[in-house]
Amino acid sequence: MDGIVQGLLLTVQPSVLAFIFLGTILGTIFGVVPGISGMTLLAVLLPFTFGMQPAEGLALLMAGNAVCHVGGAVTSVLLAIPGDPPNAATILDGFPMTQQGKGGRALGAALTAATVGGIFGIVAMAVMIPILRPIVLLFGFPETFLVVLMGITFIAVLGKGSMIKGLISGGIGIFLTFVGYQAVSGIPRLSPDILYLLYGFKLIPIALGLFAIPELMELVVEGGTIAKLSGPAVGKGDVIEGIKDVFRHWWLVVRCGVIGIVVGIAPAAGAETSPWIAYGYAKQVSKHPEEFGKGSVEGVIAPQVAVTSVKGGDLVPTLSFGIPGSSSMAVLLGGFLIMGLTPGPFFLKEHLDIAFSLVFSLAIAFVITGGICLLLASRLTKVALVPGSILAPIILIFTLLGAYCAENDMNDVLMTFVFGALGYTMMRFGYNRPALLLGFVLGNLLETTFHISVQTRGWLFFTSPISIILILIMILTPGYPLLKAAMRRMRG
Amino acid sequence: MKPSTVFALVILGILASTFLVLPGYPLLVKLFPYVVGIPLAVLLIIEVLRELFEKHQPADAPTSAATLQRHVAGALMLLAILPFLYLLGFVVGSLMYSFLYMKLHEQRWHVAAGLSLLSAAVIYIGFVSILKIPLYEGLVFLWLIK
Repeated sequence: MDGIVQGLLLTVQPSVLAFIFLGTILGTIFGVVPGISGMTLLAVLLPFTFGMQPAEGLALLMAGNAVCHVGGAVTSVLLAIPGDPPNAATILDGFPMTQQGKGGRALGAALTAATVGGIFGIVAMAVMIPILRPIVLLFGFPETFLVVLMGITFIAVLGKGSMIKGLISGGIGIFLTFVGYQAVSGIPRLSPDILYLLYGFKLIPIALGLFAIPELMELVVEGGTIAKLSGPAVGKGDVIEGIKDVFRHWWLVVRCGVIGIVVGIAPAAGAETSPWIAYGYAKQVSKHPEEFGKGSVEGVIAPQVAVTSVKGGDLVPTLSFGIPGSSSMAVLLGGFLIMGLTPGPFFLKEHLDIAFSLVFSLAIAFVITGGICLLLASRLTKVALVPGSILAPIILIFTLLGAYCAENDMNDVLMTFVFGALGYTMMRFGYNRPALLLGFVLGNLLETTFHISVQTRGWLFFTSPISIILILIMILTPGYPLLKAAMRRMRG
Repeated sequence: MKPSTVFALVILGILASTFLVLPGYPLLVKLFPYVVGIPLAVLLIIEVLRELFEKHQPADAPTSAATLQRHVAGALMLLAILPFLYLLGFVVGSLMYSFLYMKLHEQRWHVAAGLSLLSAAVIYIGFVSILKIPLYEGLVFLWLIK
């Protein structure tokens, strides 16, 4: 109870509320603009959290990232352009509704569903935090080592594309942490006569380079206007009908909310997966499955609820185990480290107030963004029509400014481009960029817990019951789909 | 050889070069890099062999000269900001870069000038005046005050 009260008191500070508002506005804009994801916003905002109080910085990052999917619904419904990639499922029924002249209703339903879903996910997360604490306390250094390894393995194996490329990406990320002073011994390593490398690679140039620069490159190469269509008019009277639709289908909202939370808790699955599972489920249980794909309001509500409720689920493994529930949570982990916090088994014990402050900040952000989007729906679509030739230089300037401001070092600007080239190459060749970043974020923790585990429990440190369970999960989770595919091949 | 194979070979080469250096370090320092590096090298070798001996998968789509040209031009467009920042600093350099970028893409004068001035103003007011961040001033400015 103390944690809840402390969290609430932290959240209602004027500075925290101001950052929630700022994050909400930025997140809504980034959500509406196609081609720029919530993860890009996280990467761009990350350097600016230096020197902020944890509650302020995390409120800014989380509010910005979480509400992107609410804003992303606007262009998905009206222009058939997903503002944020996970909003793609909303197009299936949202855009046909717009074509049928029910754009306002679809938009009202999508935005309300996203807001309700977001709050649902956050409430579920708040309920789960006290339950998770005693479980978390069972974890020592060997178990923490295995959990961290599991997080990197999961995001590498369960992410998009080839499993081998995912594991290679995670390995490269860990290997990058070997450059510079070793945390355990203080001896400099693999940094030959280069002063910049003596302190190791820095998180911000890597995060900005891997995520912001490749997206900018795509924007520059594609050229022209991002959205090729002009925004259709939104019937304001229909918006209220759409809001009512969500409450008429409250049972579907609950079930899709649960789907989002469960998918969010599973590491690496995240927002990219949940809307499609929810859409498929809604179609299966609907009384009118034949209407799906032709303009069913249930087909709009289901993915939008799941895409935002996943945020609450995402935070559960991120905060309690240090395993990101999605790729954007991997970037958020960087934010935690910048503010001097280490998510993981000790986080909920030492910073319960900050965990609950995150819950309240997100709830406020979802309410604000839902209201703003509903009020400004028709105007927001115009942001999607801003030409790439205007957006690209401005975003590039603020990206590099972010890289520089972290340590006032022009070498970081240069490094952003170096990792931008790596990120773009990885993107083109199907390597897993979130896995690389996660490997880099968790590499030092992995090495430290490895050495402490070996020193305290010997080389067979992984033989405790919890460790064995973790190893089994690590092997079976990625192994199961492979086994299933092999069996299907044998039958076919 | 496919470009993705070349990429994997480059990573493998970098990894191999670190293996040449690691033996000189104490055990505590080199142990974990070996623990991670050896499986990583094995995975890279598997990936290279898989790509080299791949029979049924279609090869990478041939990159047309026009596509390659667009990518090179795109990369140069982004990299062009570096001389502006190094020579003119963040405030003036970003103003000049964004203005020229927009004009090069045939934006109207008032749009290019207005947005460039606005972004430079945001940088100056937000970062220099309010946040008191000592932004890099550029070689030209440093040379002038000397």
